[in-house]
Amino acid sequence: MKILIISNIFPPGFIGGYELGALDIAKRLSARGHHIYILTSDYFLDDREELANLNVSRSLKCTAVTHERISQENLGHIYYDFHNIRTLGDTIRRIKPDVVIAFNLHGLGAVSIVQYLQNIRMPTILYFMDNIFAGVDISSHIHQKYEQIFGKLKFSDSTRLIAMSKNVSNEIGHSLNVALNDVTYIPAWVCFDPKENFSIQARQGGRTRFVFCSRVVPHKGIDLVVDASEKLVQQGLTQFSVDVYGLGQITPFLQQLKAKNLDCHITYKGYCSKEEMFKKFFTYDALLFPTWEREAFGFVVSEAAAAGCFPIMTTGIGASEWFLDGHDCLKIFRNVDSLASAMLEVMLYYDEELISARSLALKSARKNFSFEQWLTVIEKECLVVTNKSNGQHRNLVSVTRGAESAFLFLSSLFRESLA
Amino acid sequence: MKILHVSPTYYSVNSIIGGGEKYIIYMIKALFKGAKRANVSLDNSLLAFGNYPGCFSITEETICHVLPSLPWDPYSINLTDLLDVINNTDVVIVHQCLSSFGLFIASHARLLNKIVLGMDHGGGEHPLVNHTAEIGYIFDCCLAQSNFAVSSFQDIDVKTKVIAGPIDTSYYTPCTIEEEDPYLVAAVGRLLPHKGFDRIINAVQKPLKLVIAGTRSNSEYFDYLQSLIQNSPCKICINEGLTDEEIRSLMRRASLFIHASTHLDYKGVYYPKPELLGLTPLEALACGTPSIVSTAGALGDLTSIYGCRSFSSNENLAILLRSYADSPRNLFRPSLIHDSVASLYGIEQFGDKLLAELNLLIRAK
Repeated sequence: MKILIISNIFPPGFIGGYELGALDIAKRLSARGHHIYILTSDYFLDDREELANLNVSRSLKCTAVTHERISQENLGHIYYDFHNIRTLGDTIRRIKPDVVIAFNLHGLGAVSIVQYLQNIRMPTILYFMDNIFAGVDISSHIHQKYEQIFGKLKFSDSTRLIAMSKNVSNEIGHSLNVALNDVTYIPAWVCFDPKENFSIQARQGGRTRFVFCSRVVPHKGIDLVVDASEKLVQQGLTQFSVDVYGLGQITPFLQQLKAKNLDCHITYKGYCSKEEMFKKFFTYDALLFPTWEREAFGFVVSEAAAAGCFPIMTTGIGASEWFLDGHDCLKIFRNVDSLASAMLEVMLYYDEELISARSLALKSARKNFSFEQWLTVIEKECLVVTNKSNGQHRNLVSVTRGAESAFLFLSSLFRESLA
Repeated sequence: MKILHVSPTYYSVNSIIGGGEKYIIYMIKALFKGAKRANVSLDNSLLAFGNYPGCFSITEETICHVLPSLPWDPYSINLTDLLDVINNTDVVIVHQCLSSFGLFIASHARLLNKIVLGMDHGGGEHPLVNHTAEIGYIFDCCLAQSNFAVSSFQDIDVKTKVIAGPIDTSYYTPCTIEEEDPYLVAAVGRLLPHKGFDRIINAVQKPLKLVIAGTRSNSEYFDYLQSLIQNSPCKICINEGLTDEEIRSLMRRASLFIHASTHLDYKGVYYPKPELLGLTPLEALACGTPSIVSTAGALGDLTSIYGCRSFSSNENLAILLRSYADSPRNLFRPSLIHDSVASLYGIEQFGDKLLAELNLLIRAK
């Protein structure tokens, strides 16, 4: 199949799991013989050798990549960006893809891109690893104007929905004020060799080894990790260490460690690639992931668990839908006390209990999160949506150009209405 | 085949204002007759916009639905209602298609993957039309009612098709019962400066009598016409508010019909599209009445009709009228004039050609 992948940003530079997930899928689909084209923005320019065999065009415009503080000026771009519609139309005419997989569209004019793909009856998979419609406010003036001019966003037969979790599909449904039906759930996956030999080692010297591996930013819970560790230390419970991996707001984090005298318990280890990190997870007893409640999934949970690193995570996040509290994970409320208490629980496990808990996590992860298994599901979804839309876009040039011209005019009305 | 005509013009149970509205009714009739001849099932409906929602018959077979909104303001439409109507059709014919309103309708029809035909009736253009030719991609085809009307679409990238007419040649027919008045000259139309009624008043000669039938649409121009009439030696009157039947009767009784539309009005104001077809002279000709038309807009094309002559200046018109006043005799046979209109601009030929075009577009889709 010829597959066009759209993503607001694309590695080698990345911000989170969404774009790394898109890269995983692109690479593996390519390895299975599909022709992969990637359309992304120039947010990250360098495509070094990591992207060999992938055709990457960085011609989209991305106005926002995070969900925080969308400026009034950029609010319109949550809804539409005609440059991106034009670029997408041009790419579709050139490549004539069998199917489009749309990953994170945030900042690209997500609403109008989805509408455009549906209007041209392009077989499309919307792959939700996060709320790509974040910033859409159905009660706002801008939203009402948009719907008045472009119409309501609806998902047609030419579109299939894949979501990492109910958590993210619920959030998207809430943003758009629609119930998302017929969603295929595909969890965050892990690439591992099922034949690989490994063993789970008991902790060394009685110290429980925790690991935090995510962006080092408040919403991922780094502050909670610091505060919970401080609380344990203050209670004289010092038989633990926390290693921190990841990029982000490192300076304030290190300053905080120094100020709280926690540098002998918490160590910043820098950034590791996914492959390196997977090997390292075997050496840790438990993962600390007190992330925000709206976390779509958290790749790190799957990866850590598949390496026998027992996950402690915020209850309700996407990953928590696949684990059983007190069995193969611990689910916490997102506060210092709850995290500290979970850390203490693990610290107090006997070695055999800890090995058993880690083994259960590993077993669950390897059963549920095998990438090869889920990639086959993604391929099937591509086939289903392509077959459903068979022949509907035989006049691709006139259909795409006509729709672009309609968007051009409606965009002009939308701009006039906001002026 | 389900065809939806969408027009930002005003329709109500009681009235039809001008050619813009009338034209669509002729078109609907033409399509019905064509479909009947071709034994094709056809569903024609009309969507218009007004102050209140409504639903009434405009022909025997056609219902006009009125959605509440301001016909010049796309933001006033309830889009969900509009999309529901468009969704239930195969072909959308958008009248005044270059206006903001028309482009709005056409864009949504395009996005719903319908066959979209556009027509201009002189209702204005959104600035994007002059800014980028690609606006034309919104349409599958733009339909011109005359060779002149093609000029409306010159700036956009779109396939255009000229199908002349239509005019209802079954209603406008010669009649032997009504006695022709050899000195009666008629002129019909909305009383607007670009219609050039002042030119006719200035050129008409004794003993000819001039009757102008029309609706007062510009009071300043109306006063101007009245002042010209007062100073004219001829018998001239303006009849407002005539019904279609009364207008047809006037056309039949007149021995000459004049249509003097102009690109430059009495104040020197320029009109790029004074006539895209020339419905009233066609109706008069269909009644068998010889006509004299100006060369403004599409009117010059009408000289291909037997019994129709044109003038290119006020002086020309005065000469033609002097000559007619000196010897007021009808050299043309009314039935031949009627047949000539029917073959070139009539409902039958129009319906057949438009249905053939629609079938081509459907097959291409």
